[in-house]
Amino acid sequence: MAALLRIEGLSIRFGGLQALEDFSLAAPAGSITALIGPNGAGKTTAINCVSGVIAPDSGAVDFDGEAVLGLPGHKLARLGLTRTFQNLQVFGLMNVRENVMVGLHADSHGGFSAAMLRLPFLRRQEAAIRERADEMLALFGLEELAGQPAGELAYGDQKRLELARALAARPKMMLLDEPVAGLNPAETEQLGELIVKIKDQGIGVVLVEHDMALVMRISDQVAVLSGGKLIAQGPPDRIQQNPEVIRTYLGGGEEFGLLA
Amino acid sequence: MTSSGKRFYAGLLALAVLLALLPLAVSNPYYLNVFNVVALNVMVVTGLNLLIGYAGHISLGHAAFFGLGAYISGILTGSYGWEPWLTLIFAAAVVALVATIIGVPTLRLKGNYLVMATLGFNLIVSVLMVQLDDITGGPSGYSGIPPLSLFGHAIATDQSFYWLAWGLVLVGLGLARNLVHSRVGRGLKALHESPLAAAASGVPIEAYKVKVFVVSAVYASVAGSLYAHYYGIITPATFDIFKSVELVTMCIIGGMGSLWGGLFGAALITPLPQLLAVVEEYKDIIFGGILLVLLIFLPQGVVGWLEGKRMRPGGRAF
Repeated sequence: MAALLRIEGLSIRFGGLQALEDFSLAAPAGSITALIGPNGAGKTTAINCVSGVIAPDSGAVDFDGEAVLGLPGHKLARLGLTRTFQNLQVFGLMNVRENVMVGLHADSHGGFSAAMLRLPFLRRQEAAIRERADEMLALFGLEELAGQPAGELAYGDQKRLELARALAARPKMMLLDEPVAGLNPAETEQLGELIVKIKDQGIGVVLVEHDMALVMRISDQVAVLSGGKLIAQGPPDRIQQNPEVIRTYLGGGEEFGLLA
Repeated sequence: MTSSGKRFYAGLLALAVLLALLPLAVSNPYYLNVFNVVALNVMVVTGLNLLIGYAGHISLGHAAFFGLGAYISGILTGSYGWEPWLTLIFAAAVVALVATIIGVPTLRLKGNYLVMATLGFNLIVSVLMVQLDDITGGPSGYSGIPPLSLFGHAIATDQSFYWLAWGLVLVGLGLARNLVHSRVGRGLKALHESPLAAAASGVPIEAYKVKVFVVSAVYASVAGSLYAHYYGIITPATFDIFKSVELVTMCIIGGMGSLWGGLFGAALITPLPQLLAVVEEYKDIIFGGILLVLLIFLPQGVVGWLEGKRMRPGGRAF
Protein backbone atom coordinates (compact mmCIF):
# COMPACT_ATOMS: atom_id res chain seq x y z
CA MET A 1 0.00 0.00 0.00
CA ALA A 2 1.27 3.48 -0.81
CA ALA A 3 2.29 5.45 2.23
CA LEU A 4 0.09 8.40 3.16
CA LEU A 5 2.67 9.69 5.59
CA ARG A 6 6.34 9.29 4.81
CA ILE A 7 8.97 10.34 7.33
CA GLU A 8 12.53 10.39 5.99
CA GLY A 9 15.71 10.69 8.05
CA LEU A 10 14.35 12.83 10.86
CA SER A 11 17.03 13.98 13.31
CA ILE A 12 16.83 16.38 16.20
CA ARG A 13 19.14 17.17 19.05
CA PHE A 14 18.12 18.78 22.36
CA GLY A 15 21.40 20.04 23.83
CA GLY A 16 23.40 16.89 24.52
CA LEU A 17 20.54 14.54 23.83
CA GLN A 18 20.05 13.04 20.39
CA ALA A 19 16.28 12.73 20.62
CA LEU A 20 15.86 11.37 17.12
CA GLU A 21 18.51 10.00 14.81
CA ASP A 22 17.82 9.40 11.16
CA PHE A 23 14.31 8.21 11.87
CA SER A 24 12.25 7.05 8.92
CA LEU A 25 8.76 5.62 8.86
CA ALA A 26 6.02 5.09 6.32
CA ALA A 27 2.40 4.94 7.43
CA PRO A 28 -0.38 3.99 4.98
CA ALA A 29 -4.05 4.99 4.97
CA GLY A 30 -6.63 2.65 6.47
CA SER A 31 -4.06 1.08 8.71
CA ILE A 32 -2.77 1.39 12.26
CA THR A 33 0.94 2.04 12.59
CA ALA A 34 2.08 1.78 16.19
CA LEU A 35 5.17 3.58 17.41
CA ILE A 36 6.51 2.04 20.59
CA GLY A 37 9.63 2.24 22.68
CA PRO A 38 10.79 2.88 26.23
CA ASN A 39 10.23 6.25 27.86
CA GLY A 40 12.45 8.87 26.28
CA ALA A 41 12.86 6.89 23.06
CA GLY A 42 11.68 9.86 20.99
CA LYS A 43 8.13 8.82 20.15
CA THR A 44 6.42 12.06 21.15
CA THR A 45 9.31 14.03 19.67
CA ALA A 46 8.66 12.29 16.35
CA ILE A 47 4.94 13.15 16.52
CA ASN A 48 5.75 16.74 17.46
CA CYS A 49 8.10 17.08 14.48
CA VAL A 50 5.52 15.71 12.08
CA SER A 51 2.71 17.86 13.47
CA GLY A 52 4.70 21.08 13.27
CA VAL A 53 5.05 21.65 17.01
CA ILE A 54 8.85 21.48 16.89
CA ALA A 55 11.26 21.76 13.98
CA PRO A 56 13.75 18.91 13.46
CA ASP A 57 17.40 19.61 12.61
CA SER A 58 17.12 17.60 9.43
CA GLY A 59 14.85 15.23 7.58
CA ALA A 60 11.73 15.36 5.47
CA VAL A 61 8.06 14.62 5.95
CA ASP A 62 5.67 13.96 3.09
CA PHE A 63 1.96 13.80 3.66
CA ASP A 64 -0.40 12.84 0.88
CA GLY A 65 2.32 13.59 -1.69
CA GLU A 66 3.18 17.00 -0.28
CA ALA A 67 6.27 18.10 1.64
CA VAL A 68 4.80 19.28 4.94
CA LEU A 69 7.79 19.75 7.21
CA GLY A 70 7.67 23.22 8.76
CA LEU A 71 4.00 23.77 8.04
CA PRO A 72 2.08 25.16 11.04
CA GLY A 73 -0.46 22.93 12.77
CA HIS A 74 -3.54 24.52 11.26
CA LYS A 75 -2.30 23.95 7.69
CA LEU A 76 -1.66 20.30 8.46
CA ALA A 77 -5.15 20.00 9.89
CA ARG A 78 -6.51 21.48 6.66
CA LEU A 79 -4.54 18.90 4.68
CA GLY A 80 -6.14 16.17 6.76
CA LEU A 81 -3.54 15.45 9.43
CA THR A 82 -4.80 15.84 13.00
CA ARG A 83 -3.48 14.72 16.35
CA THR A 84 -4.21 14.19 20.03
CA PHE A 85 -1.90 14.96 22.92
CA GLN A 86 -0.24 12.84 25.56
CA ASN A 87 -1.04 15.38 28.26
CA LEU A 88 -4.69 16.21 27.67
CA GLN A 89 -5.40 19.38 25.76
CA VAL A 90 -9.15 19.78 25.89
CA PHE A 91 -10.55 23.31 26.04
CA GLY A 92 -11.63 23.05 29.66
CA LEU A 93 -13.84 26.13 29.87
CA MET A 94 -15.72 25.38 26.68
CA ASN A 95 -18.46 22.80 26.70
CA VAL A 96 -18.04 19.35 25.22
CA ARG A 97 -19.93 20.09 22.03
CA GLU A 98 -17.97 23.31 21.45
CA ASN A 99 -14.74 21.37 21.84
CA VAL A 100 -15.71 19.11 18.97
CA MET A 101 -16.95 22.11 16.99
CA VAL A 102 -13.48 23.65 17.27
CA GLY A 103 -12.20 20.44 15.72
CA LEU A 104 -14.30 21.27 12.67
CA HIS A 105 -12.32 24.45 12.09
CA ALA A 106 -10.21 22.61 9.55
CA ASP A 107 -13.33 21.68 7.63
CA SER A 108 -15.09 25.05 7.55
CA HIS A 109 -14.62 28.55 6.13
CA GLY A 110 -15.33 32.18 6.87
CA GLY A 111 -13.18 34.83 8.53
CA PHE A 112 -13.66 37.78 10.83
CA SER A 113 -15.80 40.03 8.65
CA ALA A 114 -18.10 37.24 7.50
CA ALA A 115 -18.50 36.17 11.12
CA MET A 116 -19.26 39.69 12.38
CA LEU A 117 -21.88 40.16 9.69
CA ARG A 118 -23.23 36.65 10.27
CA LEU A 119 -23.52 36.03 6.55
CA PRO A 120 -26.12 33.45 5.47
CA PHE A 121 -23.55 30.89 4.33
CA LEU A 122 -22.06 30.94 7.83
CA ARG A 123 -25.42 30.27 9.42
CA ARG A 124 -25.94 27.23 7.21
CA GLN A 125 -22.39 26.08 7.86
CA GLU A 126 -22.84 26.53 11.60
CA ALA A 127 -25.84 24.18 11.53
CA ALA A 128 -23.76 21.61 9.65
CA ILE A 129 -20.89 21.98 12.13
CA ARG A 130 -23.26 21.41 15.01
CA GLU A 131 -24.80 18.39 13.37
CA ARG A 132 -21.40 16.83 12.66
CA ALA A 133 -20.29 17.56 16.23
CA ASP A 134 -23.36 15.79 17.62
CA GLU A 135 -22.65 12.86 15.31
CA MET A 136 -19.16 12.63 16.83
CA LEU A 137 -20.50 12.90 20.36
CA ALA A 138 -22.87 10.01 19.68
CA LEU A 139 -20.08 7.92 18.19
CA PHE A 140 -17.92 8.47 21.26
CA GLY A 141 -20.74 8.13 23.77
CA LEU A 142 -20.48 11.74 24.91
CA GLU A 143 -23.89 13.03 23.85
CA GLU A 144 -25.20 13.20 27.43
CA LEU A 145 -22.28 15.45 28.36
CA ALA A 146 -22.64 17.83 25.40
CA GLY A 147 -23.42 20.91 27.47
CA GLN A 148 -20.87 20.29 30.23
CA PRO A 149 -17.63 22.23 30.51
CA ALA A 150 -14.99 19.86 29.18
CA GLY A 151 -12.73 20.55 32.15
CA GLU A 152 -15.26 18.96 34.49
CA LEU A 153 -15.35 15.65 32.65
CA ALA A 154 -13.85 12.45 34.03
CA TYR A 155 -10.39 11.70 32.69
CA GLY A 156 -11.54 8.90 30.42
CA ASP A 157 -14.26 11.09 28.92
CA GLN A 158 -11.71 13.83 28.22
CA LYS A 159 -9.54 11.30 26.42
CA ARG A 160 -12.47 10.29 24.23
CA LEU A 161 -13.36 13.93 23.67
CA GLU A 162 -9.88 14.64 22.29
CA LEU A 163 -10.26 11.77 19.90
CA ALA A 164 -13.70 13.02 18.83
CA ARG A 165 -12.30 16.49 18.23
CA ALA A 166 -9.43 15.15 16.13
CA LEU A 167 -11.78 12.95 14.07
CA ALA A 168 -14.51 15.55 13.52
CA ALA A 169 -13.01 17.24 10.46
CA ARG A 170 -12.75 13.95 8.55
CA PRO A 171 -8.95 13.76 8.55
CA LYS A 172 -6.98 11.42 6.32
CA MET A 173 -4.63 10.56 9.13
CA MET A 174 -4.58 10.92 12.91
CA LEU A 175 -1.55 10.92 15.18
CA LEU A 176 -2.62 9.57 18.57
CA ASP A 177 -0.18 10.19 21.40
CA GLU A 178 -0.93 7.66 24.16
CA PRO A 179 -4.70 7.64 23.78
CA VAL A 180 -5.28 5.04 26.50
CA ALA A 181 -2.69 6.18 29.07
CA GLY A 182 -4.35 6.33 32.48
CA LEU A 183 -7.50 4.50 31.41
CA ASN A 184 -8.82 1.38 33.13
CA PRO A 185 -8.95 -1.94 31.21
CA ALA A 186 -12.62 -1.53 30.25
CA GLU A 187 -12.08 1.99 28.94
CA THR A 188 -8.94 0.86 27.12
CA GLU A 189 -10.87 -1.92 25.43
CA GLN A 190 -13.58 0.50 24.37
CA LEU A 191 -11.14 3.09 23.03
CA GLY A 192 -9.24 0.37 21.18
CA GLU A 193 -12.45 -0.57 19.39
CA LEU A 194 -13.02 3.06 18.47
CA ILE A 195 -9.53 3.32 17.02
CA VAL A 196 -10.17 0.23 14.91
CA LYS A 197 -13.45 1.81 13.74
CA ILE A 198 -11.53 4.90 12.72
CA LYS A 199 -9.10 2.78 10.74
CA ASP A 200 -11.98 0.94 9.09
CA GLN A 201 -13.19 4.26 7.71
CA GLY A 202 -9.97 4.35 5.68
CA ILE A 203 -8.18 6.78 7.97
CA GLY A 204 -4.51 6.21 8.67
CA VAL A 205 -3.63 6.00 12.36
CA VAL A 206 -0.22 6.50 13.91
CA LEU A 207 -0.45 5.25 17.46
CA VAL A 208 2.11 6.06 20.13
CA GLU A 209 1.29 3.82 23.04
CA HIS A 210 2.77 2.03 26.04
CA ASP A 211 -0.06 -0.48 26.41
CA MET A 212 1.55 -3.40 24.61
CA ALA A 213 -1.51 -5.64 24.81
CA LEU A 214 -3.52 -3.03 22.93
CA VAL A 215 -0.73 -2.30 20.45
CA MET A 216 -0.24 -5.94 19.60
CA ARG A 217 -3.97 -6.52 19.25
CA ILE A 218 -4.98 -3.65 16.97
CA SER A 219 -1.85 -2.59 15.05
CA ASP A 220 -1.11 -3.59 11.48
CA GLN A 221 2.47 -2.53 11.75
CA VAL A 222 4.73 -1.76 14.70
CA ALA A 223 7.82 0.43 14.69
CA VAL A 224 10.15 0.35 17.69
CA LEU A 225 12.18 3.35 18.75
CA SER A 226 15.00 3.21 21.22
CA GLY A 227 17.32 6.09 22.05
CA GLY A 228 15.98 8.04 19.08
CA LYS A 229 16.72 5.26 16.60
CA LEU A 230 14.38 2.93 14.81
CA ILE A 231 15.48 -0.56 15.89
CA ALA A 232 12.76 -2.71 14.39
CA GLN A 233 9.69 -2.53 12.21
CA GLY A 234 7.14 -5.11 11.14
CA PRO A 235 3.87 -6.85 11.93
CA PRO A 236 3.07 -7.28 15.65
CA ASP A 237 3.76 -11.00 15.86
CA ARG A 238 7.22 -10.58 14.35
CA ILE A 239 8.05 -7.62 16.57
CA GLN A 240 7.20 -9.70 19.67
CA GLN A 241 9.84 -12.25 18.62
CA ASN A 242 12.47 -9.71 17.68
CA PRO A 243 15.48 -10.29 19.94
CA GLU A 244 16.61 -6.68 19.83
CA VAL A 245 13.18 -5.44 20.86
CA ILE A 246 13.06 -7.92 23.71
CA ARG A 247 16.53 -6.85 24.81
CA THR A 248 15.53 -3.19 24.71
CA TYR A 249 12.54 -3.76 26.89
CA LEU A 250 14.41 -6.16 29.19
CA GLY A 251 17.25 -3.69 29.49
CA GLY A 252 14.78 -0.99 30.34
CA GLY A 253 13.30 -3.40 32.87
CA GLU A 254 9.77 -2.52 31.91
CA GLU A 255 6.77 -3.92 30.17
CA PHE A 256 8.39 -7.22 29.28
CA GLY A 257 5.53 -9.10 30.82
CA LEU A 258 3.10 -7.46 28.47
CA LEU A 259 5.20 -8.27 25.45
CA ALA A 260 5.25 -11.98 26.13
CA MET B 1 -31.37 30.52 16.61
CA THR B 2 -29.94 29.12 19.82
CA SER B 3 -31.42 30.02 23.19
CA SER B 4 -28.36 32.07 24.09
CA GLY B 5 -28.85 33.94 20.82
CA LYS B 6 -32.45 34.73 21.74
CA ARG B 7 -31.33 35.84 25.18
CA PHE B 8 -28.72 38.13 23.69
CA TYR B 9 -31.05 39.84 21.26
CA ALA B 10 -33.71 40.13 23.96
CA GLY B 11 -31.08 41.82 26.11
CA LEU B 12 -30.07 44.08 23.26
CA LEU B 13 -33.70 45.02 22.66
CA ALA B 14 -34.23 45.74 26.36
CA LEU B 15 -31.11 47.92 26.31
CA ALA B 16 -32.39 49.75 23.23
CA VAL B 17 -35.75 50.44 24.89
CA LEU B 18 -34.06 51.63 28.06
CA LEU B 19 -31.78 53.89 26.05
CA ALA B 20 -34.74 55.26 24.10
CA LEU B 21 -36.61 56.12 27.29
CA LEU B 22 -33.67 57.56 29.13
CA PRO B 23 -33.60 61.03 27.48
CA LEU B 24 -37.24 61.48 28.49
CA ALA B 25 -36.30 61.09 32.12
CA VAL B 26 -32.98 62.89 31.87
CA SER B 27 -33.04 66.19 30.10
CA ASN B 28 -30.11 67.76 31.91
CA PRO B 29 -27.41 68.01 29.22
CA TYR B 30 -24.75 67.38 31.83
CA TYR B 31 -26.08 63.89 32.47
CA LEU B 32 -26.56 63.29 28.78
CA ASN B 33 -22.92 64.15 28.35
CA VAL B 34 -21.98 61.50 30.90
CA PHE B 35 -24.11 58.94 29.05
CA ASN B 36 -22.40 59.90 25.83
CA VAL B 37 -18.96 59.37 27.29
CA VAL B 38 -20.17 56.04 28.65
CA ALA B 39 -21.26 55.10 25.12
CA LEU B 40 -17.82 55.85 23.69
CA ASN B 41 -16.13 53.91 26.46
CA VAL B 42 -18.48 50.97 25.94
CA MET B 43 -17.48 50.96 22.30
CA VAL B 44 -13.76 50.78 23.09
CA VAL B 45 -14.29 48.23 25.85
CA THR B 46 -16.41 46.01 23.60
CA GLY B 47 -13.49 45.73 21.19
CA LEU B 48 -10.97 45.39 23.97
CA ASN B 49 -13.02 42.59 25.49
CA LEU B 50 -12.71 40.58 22.28
CA LEU B 51 -8.96 40.77 22.71
CA ILE B 52 -8.69 40.33 26.49
CA GLY B 53 -11.68 38.18 27.28
CA TYR B 54 -11.69 35.89 24.29
CA ALA B 55 -8.18 35.75 22.87
CA GLY B 56 -6.52 36.25 26.26
CA HIS B 57 -4.14 39.08 25.38
CA ILE B 58 -3.99 42.39 27.19
CA SER B 59 -3.37 45.71 25.48
CA LEU B 60 -2.27 48.80 27.37
CA GLY B 61 -2.36 50.86 24.20
CA HIS B 62 -6.01 51.18 23.40
CA ALA B 63 -6.10 54.80 24.52
CA ALA B 64 -3.56 55.42 21.77
CA PHE B 65 -5.80 53.83 19.12
CA PHE B 66 -8.68 55.85 20.57
CA GLY B 67 -6.47 58.94 20.32
CA LEU B 68 -5.24 58.19 16.81
CA GLY B 69 -8.84 57.91 15.65
CA ALA B 70 -9.60 61.23 17.32
CA TYR B 71 -6.55 63.10 16.00
CA ILE B 72 -6.72 61.74 12.46
CA SER B 73 -10.42 62.60 12.24
CA GLY B 74 -9.98 65.93 14.00
CA ILE B 75 -7.01 67.19 12.00
CA LEU B 76 -8.11 65.99 8.57
CA THR B 77 -11.61 67.43 8.94
CA GLY B 78 -10.50 70.51 10.89
CA SER B 79 -7.41 71.57 8.95
CA TYR B 80 -8.00 69.96 5.58
CA GLY B 81 -11.77 69.96 5.25
CA TRP B 82 -12.16 66.21 4.70
CA GLU B 83 -15.62 64.71 4.85
CA PRO B 84 -16.11 63.55 8.49
CA TRP B 85 -17.65 60.13 7.86
CA LEU B 86 -15.13 59.20 5.19
CA THR B 87 -12.38 60.42 7.49
CA LEU B 88 -13.71 58.20 10.27
CA ILE B 89 -13.36 55.22 7.95
CA PHE B 90 -9.94 56.38 6.77
CA ALA B 91 -8.78 56.76 10.39
CA ALA B 92 -10.01 53.26 11.18
CA ALA B 93 -8.06 51.91 8.21
CA VAL B 94 -4.88 53.68 9.31
CA VAL B 95 -5.32 52.39 12.87
CA ALA B 96 -5.91 48.87 11.54
CA LEU B 97 -2.61 49.11 9.66
CA VAL B 98 -0.77 50.41 12.73
CA ALA B 99 -2.25 47.61 14.87
CA THR B 100 -1.14 45.05 12.31
CA ILE B 101 2.40 46.42 12.37
CA ILE B 102 2.47 46.17 16.19
CA GLY B 103 0.63 42.87 16.36
CA VAL B 104 2.48 40.76 13.81
CA PRO B 105 5.87 40.70 15.55
CA THR B 106 4.67 40.78 19.18
CA LEU B 107 1.81 38.29 19.04
CA ARG B 108 4.08 35.72 17.45
CA LEU B 109 6.12 35.51 20.63
CA LYS B 110 5.10 33.25 23.47
CA GLY B 111 4.08 35.17 26.55
CA ASN B 112 2.37 38.49 26.83
CA TYR B 113 4.71 40.73 24.89
CA LEU B 114 1.74 42.61 23.56
CA VAL B 115 1.37 44.36 26.93
CA MET B 116 4.87 45.81 26.73
CA ALA B 117 4.63 46.69 23.05
CA THR B 118 1.29 48.46 23.41
CA LEU B 119 2.43 50.28 26.54
CA GLY B 120 5.45 51.59 24.66
CA PHE B 121 3.30 52.45 21.69
CA ASN B 122 0.90 54.46 23.85
CA LEU B 123 3.81 56.41 25.34
CA ILE B 124 5.15 57.21 21.87
CA VAL B 125 1.77 58.34 20.59
CA SER B 126 1.32 60.55 23.67
CA VAL B 127 4.71 62.17 23.09
CA LEU B 128 3.97 62.74 19.40
CA MET B 129 0.63 64.36 20.22
CA VAL B 130 2.43 66.84 22.46
CA GLN B 131 5.58 67.40 20.38
CA LEU B 132 4.12 67.69 16.88
CA ASP B 133 2.45 70.89 17.96
CA ASP B 134 2.38 72.38 14.44
CA ILE B 135 -0.08 69.70 13.47
CA THR B 136 -1.65 68.57 16.73
CA GLY B 137 -1.78 71.82 18.65
CA GLY B 138 0.54 70.42 21.32
CA PRO B 139 -0.36 70.06 24.99
CA SER B 140 -3.25 72.50 24.82
CA GLY B 141 -4.90 70.38 22.20
CA TYR B 142 -6.44 70.65 18.77
CA SER B 143 -9.68 72.55 18.38
CA GLY B 144 -12.08 73.59 15.69
CA ILE B 145 -13.24 70.10 14.75
CA PRO B 146 -16.59 70.22 12.95
CA PRO B 147 -19.48 68.10 14.20
CA LEU B 148 -20.67 65.06 12.30
CA SER B 149 -23.84 65.33 10.33
CA LEU B 150 -26.40 62.76 9.33
CA PHE B 151 -28.95 63.22 6.53
CA GLY B 152 -28.13 66.91 6.42
CA HIS B 153 -28.54 67.42 10.18
CA ALA B 154 -25.52 68.37 12.24
CA ILE B 155 -24.99 66.12 15.29
CA ALA B 156 -24.17 69.13 17.41
CA THR B 157 -26.19 68.64 20.59
CA ASP B 158 -25.72 66.21 23.46
CA GLN B 159 -29.13 64.80 22.63
CA SER B 160 -28.46 64.09 18.95
CA PHE B 161 -25.03 62.66 19.71
CA TYR B 162 -26.66 60.42 22.31
CA TRP B 163 -28.78 58.76 19.61
CA LEU B 164 -25.87 58.38 17.25
CA ALA B 165 -23.38 57.05 19.79
CA TRP B 166 -25.71 54.57 21.44
CA GLY B 167 -27.06 53.47 18.07
CA LEU B 168 -23.51 52.64 17.03
CA VAL B 169 -22.86 50.94 20.38
CA LEU B 170 -25.78 48.59 19.73
CA VAL B 171 -24.41 47.85 16.27
CA GLY B 172 -20.94 47.28 17.74
CA LEU B 173 -22.29 44.94 20.40
CA GLY B 174 -24.25 43.01 17.78
CA LEU B 175 -21.18 42.61 15.54
CA ALA B 176 -19.03 41.53 18.47
CA ARG B 177 -21.63 39.04 19.58
CA ASN B 178 -21.81 37.55 16.09
CA LEU B 179 -18.05 37.18 16.07
CA VAL B 180 -17.97 35.50 19.47
CA HIS B 181 -20.65 33.03 18.41
CA SER B 182 -19.02 31.98 15.20
CA ARG B 183 -16.32 29.53 14.26
CA VAL B 184 -13.87 32.41 14.60
CA GLY B 185 -15.05 33.12 18.15
CA ARG B 186 -14.68 29.47 19.05
CA GLY B 187 -11.20 29.51 17.55
CA LEU B 188 -10.27 32.54 19.68
CA LYS B 189 -11.50 30.90 22.88
CA ALA B 190 -9.68 27.72 21.91
CA LEU B 191 -6.34 29.42 21.28
CA HIS B 192 -6.68 31.19 24.61
CA GLU B 193 -6.98 27.85 26.42
CA SER B 194 -4.56 25.72 24.44
CA PRO B 195 -2.74 27.20 21.45
CA LEU B 196 -1.32 23.78 20.65
CA ALA B 197 -4.65 22.02 20.48
CA ALA B 198 -6.27 24.97 18.69
CA ALA B 199 -3.64 24.84 15.95
CA ALA B 200 -4.00 21.07 15.66
CA SER B 201 -7.74 21.60 15.22
CA GLY B 202 -7.14 23.92 12.28
CA VAL B 203 -7.24 27.33 14.00
CA PRO B 204 -4.68 29.68 12.41
CA ILE B 205 -3.60 30.98 15.79
CA GLU B 206 -1.09 33.65 14.70
CA ALA B 207 -3.48 35.18 12.18
CA TYR B 208 -6.41 35.10 14.58
CA LYS B 209 -4.47 36.83 17.36
CA VAL B 210 -3.39 39.63 15.03
CA LYS B 211 -6.85 40.01 13.52
CA VAL B 212 -8.68 40.21 16.83
CA PHE B 213 -6.15 42.81 17.96
CA VAL B 214 -6.81 44.80 14.80
CA VAL B 215 -10.59 44.54 15.23
CA SER B 216 -10.32 45.77 18.81
CA ALA B 217 -8.12 48.68 17.69
CA VAL B 218 -10.69 49.62 15.05
CA TYR B 219 -13.45 49.76 17.69
CA ALA B 220 -11.24 52.18 19.63
CA SER B 221 -10.49 54.25 16.55
CA VAL B 222 -14.15 54.68 15.62
CA ALA B 223 -14.95 55.72 19.19
CA GLY B 224 -12.05 58.20 19.01
CA SER B 225 -13.31 59.75 15.78
CA LEU B 226 -16.77 60.15 17.31
CA TYR B 227 -15.21 61.69 20.40
CA ALA B 228 -13.35 64.29 18.33
CA HIS B 229 -16.47 65.38 16.46
CA TYR B 230 -18.54 65.41 19.64
CA TYR B 231 -16.27 67.65 21.68
CA GLY B 232 -14.74 69.66 18.86
CA ILE B 233 -11.51 69.83 20.85
CA ILE B 234 -9.08 67.07 21.79
CA THR B 235 -6.09 67.12 24.13
CA PRO B 236 -3.26 64.61 24.54
CA ALA B 237 -4.07 63.95 28.21
CA THR B 238 -7.32 62.25 27.20
CA PHE B 239 -5.35 59.52 25.45
CA ASP B 240 -2.47 58.80 27.80
CA ILE B 241 -1.56 55.42 29.27
CA PHE B 242 -3.76 56.06 32.29
CA LYS B 243 -6.73 56.08 29.96
CA SER B 244 -5.53 52.68 28.72
CA VAL B 245 -5.42 51.37 32.28
CA GLU B 246 -8.90 52.78 32.84
CA LEU B 247 -10.21 50.94 29.76
CA VAL B 248 -8.66 47.66 30.87
CA THR B 249 -10.19 48.20 34.32
CA MET B 250 -13.64 48.66 32.78
CA CYS B 251 -13.13 45.49 30.81
CA ILE B 252 -12.04 43.46 33.81
CA ILE B 253 -14.45 44.87 36.38
CA GLY B 254 -17.44 43.87 34.28
CA GLY B 255 -16.05 40.53 33.33
CA MET B 256 -13.58 39.42 30.73
CA GLY B 257 -15.23 37.37 28.05
CA SER B 258 -18.67 38.84 28.68
CA LEU B 259 -19.85 41.60 26.36
CA TRP B 260 -22.50 42.68 28.88
CA GLY B 261 -19.69 42.84 31.39
CA GLY B 262 -17.93 45.44 29.26
CA LEU B 263 -21.06 47.53 29.13
CA PHE B 264 -21.45 47.25 32.89
CA GLY B 265 -17.80 48.09 33.55
CA ALA B 266 -17.86 51.19 31.37
CA ALA B 267 -21.14 52.36 32.88
CA LEU B 268 -19.78 51.90 36.38
CA ILE B 269 -16.31 53.42 35.98
CA THR B 270 -16.96 56.31 33.58
CA PRO B 271 -19.04 58.50 35.92
CA LEU B 272 -16.85 57.88 38.99
CA PRO B 273 -14.52 60.87 38.49
CA GLN B 274 -17.51 63.13 37.85
CA LEU B 275 -19.48 61.86 40.83
CA LEU B 276 -16.73 61.97 43.41
CA ALA B 277 -14.29 64.83 43.40
CA VAL B 278 -11.86 62.77 45.42
CA VAL B 279 -11.90 60.20 42.63
CA GLU B 280 -10.96 62.85 40.08
CA GLU B 281 -7.82 63.69 42.00
CA TYR B 282 -6.66 60.15 42.71
CA LYS B 283 -8.37 58.30 39.91
CA ASP B 284 -5.26 56.59 38.58
CA ILE B 285 -4.48 55.17 42.01
CA ILE B 286 -8.10 54.20 42.56
CA PHE B 287 -8.39 52.44 39.20
CA GLY B 288 -5.13 50.64 39.79
CA GLY B 289 -6.40 49.58 43.22
CA ILE B 290 -9.74 48.38 41.83
CA LEU B 291 -7.89 46.38 39.19
CA LEU B 292 -5.65 44.78 41.78
CA VAL B 293 -8.46 43.85 44.15
CA LEU B 294 -10.60 42.48 41.33
CA LEU B 295 -7.89 40.32 39.87
CA ILE B 296 -7.24 38.83 43.29
CA PHE B 297 -10.79 38.35 44.57
CA LEU B 298 -13.07 38.40 41.56
CA PRO B 299 -11.04 37.48 38.47
CA GLN B 300 -14.14 36.66 36.45
CA GLY B 301 -15.51 40.18 36.99
CA VAL B 302 -18.85 41.27 38.42
CA VAL B 303 -21.03 40.05 35.55
CA GLY B 304 -19.06 36.84 35.25
CA TRP B 305 -19.44 36.30 38.98
CA LEU B 306 -23.20 36.89 38.86
CA GLU B 307 -23.58 34.53 35.93
CA GLY B 308 -21.55 31.93 37.76
CA LYS B 309 -23.93 32.19 40.70
CA ARG B 310 -26.97 31.94 38.48
CA MET B 311 -25.98 28.80 36.65
CA ARG B 312 -23.21 26.33 36.15
CA PRO B 313 -20.11 27.79 34.55
CA GLY B 314 -19.97 27.20 30.84
CA GLY B 315 -23.68 26.51 30.77
CA ARG B 316 -24.21 29.88 29.20
CA ALA B 317 -22.35 31.22 26.28
CA PHE B 318 -22.77 34.96 26.72
